[in-house]
Amino acid sequence: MAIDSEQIKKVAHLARLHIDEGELDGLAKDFDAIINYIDQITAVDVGDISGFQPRVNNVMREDDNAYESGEFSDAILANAPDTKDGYLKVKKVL
Amino acid sequence: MDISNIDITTLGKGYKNGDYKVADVISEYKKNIADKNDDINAFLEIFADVDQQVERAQKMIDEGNAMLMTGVPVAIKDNILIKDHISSASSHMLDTHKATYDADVITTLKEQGAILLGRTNMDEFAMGSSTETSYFGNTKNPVNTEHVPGGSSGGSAASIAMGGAMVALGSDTGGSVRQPASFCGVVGLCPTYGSVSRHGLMAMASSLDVIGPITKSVADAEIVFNTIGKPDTNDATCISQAIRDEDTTSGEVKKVGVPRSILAMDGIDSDVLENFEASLKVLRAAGYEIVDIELPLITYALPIYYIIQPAEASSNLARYDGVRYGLREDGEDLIDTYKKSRSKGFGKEVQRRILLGTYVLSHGYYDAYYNKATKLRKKLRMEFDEIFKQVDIVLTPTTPSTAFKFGEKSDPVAMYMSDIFTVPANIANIPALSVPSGNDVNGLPYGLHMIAPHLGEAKLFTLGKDFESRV
Repeated sequence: MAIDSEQIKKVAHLARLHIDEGELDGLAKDFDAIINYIDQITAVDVGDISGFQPRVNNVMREDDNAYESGEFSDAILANAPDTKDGYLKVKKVL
Repeated sequence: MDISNIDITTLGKGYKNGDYKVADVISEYKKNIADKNDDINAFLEIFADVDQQVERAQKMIDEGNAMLMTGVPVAIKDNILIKDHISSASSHMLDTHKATYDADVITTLKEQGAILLGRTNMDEFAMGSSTETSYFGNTKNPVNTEHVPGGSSGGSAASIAMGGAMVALGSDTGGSVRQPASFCGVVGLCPTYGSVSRHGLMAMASSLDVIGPITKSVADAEIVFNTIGKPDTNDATCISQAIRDEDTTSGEVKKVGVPRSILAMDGIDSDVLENFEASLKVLRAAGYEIVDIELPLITYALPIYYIIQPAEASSNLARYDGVRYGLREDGEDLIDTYKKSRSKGFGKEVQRRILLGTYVLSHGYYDAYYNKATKLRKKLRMEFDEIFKQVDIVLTPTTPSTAFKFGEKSDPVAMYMSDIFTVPANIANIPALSVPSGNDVNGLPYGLHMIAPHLGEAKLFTLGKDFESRV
């Protein structure tokens, strides 16, 4: 199953990446090699995993000790490229 | 003073009885950094507040409040957040990003009065096995500067090998602490997943990432692990005290297992296998029983890893969109801004893995790849759990070759093969340790890789210390 440039373009759009035209072929070739390598797992039989017992379960912590709204906003927004009145500023969405 | 032979325990004793002053010790490390870092590029930054930290540590010692890691010089990988310091994951995307909080491990080290010397270079966003993908240039292997230090925690490993710190913290997702430790001739521990809090570690693959120490000795790795390995409610995957308490795994090691099937794979250098057999000989002579074992899925751990890791990383790196953190490249509209910012901010390997992850998670492939890999992963863990009923430790070499030269692994799959022995432990979420086991004809270090059961670090330290004393 050869990966072609069109597929790379599609995946790139999903990943919100822009790939230069000149790089598409090289990337498709790399991709092909990697997919061929990982594809080997499709032939492996999983067998019975009903006995799998995770020791740790993801637990949500209680939402207590709430901090004062706005306490960390300045520090967090300091990293943003563009802000206005405490909001992240971006190009028009609609 | 000669700092090259002091470990954490000796340092602590020296501080306590006044033989050493923190300022003098740190000054020696800073000298090594000044001499070597321009060439090695292990450290990206030495923190401006080191002198204040030194004063505070000395005060703790003078007042009789010293703890195990007080006054110990520590290097921190560039993906672990330290409040008000730049944390960039060695990426252009975050090169001006200042952390807004301390990682849990940093809070702990600050409470201890450890000296946080600076941040270390890494493969960009922890994706790599050679520290050749950093936005800030390569790090060189201090043992031989024409060779890579390994990755992704190459800067951390190099900082120890060059005498720039006594302890370094790295992150290990597929071997990124153990492999560079092995390449640089030092000790690297990948703790049990969930034993050390990931709060404040920039997420790469959330079900695989672990913070681990790189040190000169196993005893030092043990001290660091005991210091930073504790529960944290800020990390939902961090193991509770209750579960830690009910674990009864003893530190005793009598029998070790060798998974022969993985040693028979292509691409493993013959001198690595010879060194491995020599290590087994040492252990046999020391009284350990060594048996061959079967772990049928171990040879599939690498392809499983290169499905799960890129998939999770593609999700985790979606947050870098040109909106919230430093870098933005404006486009015609919002989606174009995302694309331009991400394509400018991320290097080639990061983009490749994001694409790979997106592909394996996309419609039509999710079941065949990601779902299948997740199921196989559970099976591999079950295989390990079964094996650990018969043996205490599983042994392999740490890497299939000693440190390679810069630019030597230009093919992505060839680079990925560097992780062949280290990824099984990450996939199974169990701990593993790399201990130096000799040098090749060019003086490049080998590593012996020990895998222990879940929460079985005590076994790693037992065998690790014993092996270390005999090599």
